[in-house]
Amino acid sequence: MATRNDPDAELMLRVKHGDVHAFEQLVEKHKQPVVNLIARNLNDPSEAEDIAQNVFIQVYKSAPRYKVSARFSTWLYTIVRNLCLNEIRRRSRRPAESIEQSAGGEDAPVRQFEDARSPAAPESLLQNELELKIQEALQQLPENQRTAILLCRQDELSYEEIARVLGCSLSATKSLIHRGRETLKQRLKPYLRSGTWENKE
Amino acid sequence: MKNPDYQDWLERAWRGELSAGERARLEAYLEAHPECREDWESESRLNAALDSLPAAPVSSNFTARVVQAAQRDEAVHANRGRGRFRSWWMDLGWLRRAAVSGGAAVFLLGLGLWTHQYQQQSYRVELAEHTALISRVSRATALAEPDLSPSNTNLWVDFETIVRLPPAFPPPDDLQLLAALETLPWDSSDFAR
Repeated sequence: MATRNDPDAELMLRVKHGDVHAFEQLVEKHKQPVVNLIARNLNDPSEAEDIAQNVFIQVYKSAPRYKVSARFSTWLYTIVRNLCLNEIRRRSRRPAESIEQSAGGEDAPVRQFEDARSPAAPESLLQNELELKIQEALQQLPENQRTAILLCRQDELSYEEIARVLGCSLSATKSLIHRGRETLKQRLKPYLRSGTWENKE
Repeated sequence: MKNPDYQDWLERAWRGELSAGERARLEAYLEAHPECREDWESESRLNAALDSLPAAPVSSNFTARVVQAAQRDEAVHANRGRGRFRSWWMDLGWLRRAAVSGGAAVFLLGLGLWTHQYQQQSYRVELAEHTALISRVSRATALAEPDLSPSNTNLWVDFETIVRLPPAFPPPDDLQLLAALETLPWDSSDFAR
């Protein structure tokens, strides 16, 4: 089985036997793609970290029941997707409530962000506006199309694995990506035509 | 209808997987099919647009916070067994708590009644055994002394006292006496009187 060569699955088996250092390694390796996926899926970078924390806590809690039946990342992104769906449902019920009220307590450690922003230049303002347009276009897609497209660009999962995360067939997954991309191309047409994004393929 | 190869290249390009050889073949295909070039370029620009999205900020102490939170959660989970009944009880709400309390009270009342009835039954059985024993003694003694016949009501004056004798009743001496009396010859017609 291919999963036998999955280093993350091996780390997870160590976590299963109580190895906290292995858990740290897993978090360190996957934190950025997980936070990215959540932030882009929910269009909320500020709360993405809290949800990502819940994802990893879920991983840690599920470790005793973990079985190597697929690649670790498939399992991880399935958890990510489920928590994103929960968050979308929660927001649709209580739009004004912040997740920080439920996820963080008084004793929660303070976050330490590095200030990576440079002074706003005209080009960066334009870039920010374009990013905003992409995010808006992504948000208007159905959740499964959005998740499929984002997972597809993460370079981490194969189409078969994306299909597994989404719980649908391979052909249905490709169809979701195709339809989502067609919609994005339509919505971003003026920006795509302007050549703002250089053809890197 | 698009060439199946083109569709395959497209799907591989969605994931950024095109090899140099595939790129060369794709370029040749686009030269031969210029109607596909615009589509291909918009696909490529969409890929570039998606890749241009900035990474979401992750705090530098994220891993430490996650590990700390996971361990805290594990400890809470371990203690939850003790607090589980309490939280379950509190989660019920007053109406359900009242219903559960009522059910428990009915159960305990039923258990008490059943125990009481069982004890009464045991007492009756014991009483019957004692009565049978006394009857045997009476019958036996009536052979030797007619005044001690069961029909003589004076014999039952001390019945209650005898019944309430301690568990050692009847004393071993009485049992010996009973055995001796039963060895005496007697006629069943005596009981007919």
